[in-house]
Amino acid sequence: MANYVAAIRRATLEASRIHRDMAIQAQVVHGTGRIDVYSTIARLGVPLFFTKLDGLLGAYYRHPSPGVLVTTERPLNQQRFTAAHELGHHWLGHTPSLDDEESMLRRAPFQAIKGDDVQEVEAETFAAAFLLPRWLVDRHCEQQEWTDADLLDPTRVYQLALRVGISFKAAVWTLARYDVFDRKIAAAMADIELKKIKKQLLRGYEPKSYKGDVWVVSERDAHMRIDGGPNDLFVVGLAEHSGSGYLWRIESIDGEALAVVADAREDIDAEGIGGSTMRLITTAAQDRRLGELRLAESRPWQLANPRNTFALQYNLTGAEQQGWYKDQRKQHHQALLKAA
Amino acid sequence: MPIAPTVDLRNQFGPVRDQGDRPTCLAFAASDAHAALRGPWTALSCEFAFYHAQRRAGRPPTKGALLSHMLRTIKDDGQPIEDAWPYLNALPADLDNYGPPSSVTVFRRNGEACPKAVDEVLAHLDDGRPVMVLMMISDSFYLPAVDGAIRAPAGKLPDPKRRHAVVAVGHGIADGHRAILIRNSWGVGWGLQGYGWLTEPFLAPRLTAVALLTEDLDVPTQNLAA
Repeated sequence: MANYVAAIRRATLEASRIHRDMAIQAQVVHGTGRIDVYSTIARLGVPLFFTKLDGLLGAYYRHPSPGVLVTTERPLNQQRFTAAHELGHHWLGHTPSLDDEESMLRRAPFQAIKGDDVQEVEAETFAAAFLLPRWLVDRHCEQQEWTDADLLDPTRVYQLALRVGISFKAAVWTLARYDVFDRKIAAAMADIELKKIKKQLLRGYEPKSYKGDVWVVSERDAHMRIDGGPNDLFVVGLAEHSGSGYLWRIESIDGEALAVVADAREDIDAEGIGGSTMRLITTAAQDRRLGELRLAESRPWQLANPRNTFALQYNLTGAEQQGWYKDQRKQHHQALLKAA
Repeated sequence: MPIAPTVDLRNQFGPVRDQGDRPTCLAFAASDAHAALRGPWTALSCEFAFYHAQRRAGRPPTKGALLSHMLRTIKDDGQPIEDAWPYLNALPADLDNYGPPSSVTVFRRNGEACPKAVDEVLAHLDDGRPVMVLMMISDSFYLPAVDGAIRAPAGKLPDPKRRHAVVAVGHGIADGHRAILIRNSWGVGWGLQGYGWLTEPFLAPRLTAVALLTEDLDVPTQNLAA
């Protein structure tokens, strides 16, 4: 147990150190709101290759020079977590590691299990602390106007997980580590079926499959970029001054990327006459595409003078496909050939 | 082809006003009905009416008003002319700075909710009295046809979440149906210079309340309730 506690402490400190040494916090806080693990690996000069791995989620090797392999057979956020785990092995100076699903998932609840390799516990802790440091929780809570108490709501934890690019369960256990809630609550929350949360967020719309993620987006997310997958759904909820003649309308949508599948309104105030309503426009991804969804709130007889606009950038290409990370191909392919 | 009014009270009113993006339609409907009854037309301060109605209801000025509190306000708090507290296009950033002038001359008038029926609206219009009409609105309300008519959208149910208040100022016949001429508070760019015709098939299932301002209560008095 002493080893376990020391491993947790060391991995957490090292995750903080890499954030500081590589000036990650400033980039993320003022940027996309998620930590780019792939570019961090690349900036360290470590080759990163995505490929189909037989029975493995990822691997870290040291010879002929350090490198990271990540499976193409898992969703985006699982790929990111695996990459962060392998980055942990590298940053913490570990020996090579082959990481299969069983061993990584077994550690997912972040609990000490007898027989766990300390190196693996360190890498796993590093991954969680690297991808969701406390300051990143605070950054998103500030943007969404959530308090720690609001994070007792699993739908909010799910939305946080999507924004930082990790799995729901990893977010739950990381928040428990930050004492946002206790481990008993975390265990109950982690047991909730994601489909149930997605159903709740879709407010009656039933997709063909619940495989994709459900992003609930509001004016607090204006100009954010969604990094999601080709099955994802967006529920865009915007206050509409409908009692004053203003309606939100879609100004620009790439019909091959997104389709509007539901359009509804909810009361903001059930009693008053002439107040705003909450407009809820749900879109479903149609393809692996990048683009922008733009809406404008205007009076239909004065379209040229919108009182408000809203834009959302999205990248729905999903999981990384077979190949080198970005421009690493030239750089490392030749180095490996030489070494061979 | 224009819809010919059988009864038309528009000459009791000044130019249509614009509430902007604030939730003040009910205050505009009450104020304009009140000003028309006083005649000749001098616009009354709907900011004053809205402020007091919200204060009576314990509701913030960022939300819509309630009919019962608006009628009570016109009766008990009254309202001054528009120039005494002109309409604010936007609330002050600090709501502590939102309040009426300290001393103004106000006009009071009794009011009452009436049975919720198109017949009721027509009967009061026939008597020469403008009527406050509260209703649910649908997409077709936002863009009246060239003749100013707002027709029932085919296959669409009333939307109880979108609620609006206007003043009924006349009636006629459109498409063979009874139609009520309304004065909106969305500026002169909406409909026919700010007026539109609600056809009975549109209005009847969407009508939520009807109210009337009745007798003048007293001579102008000072209101010190700032």
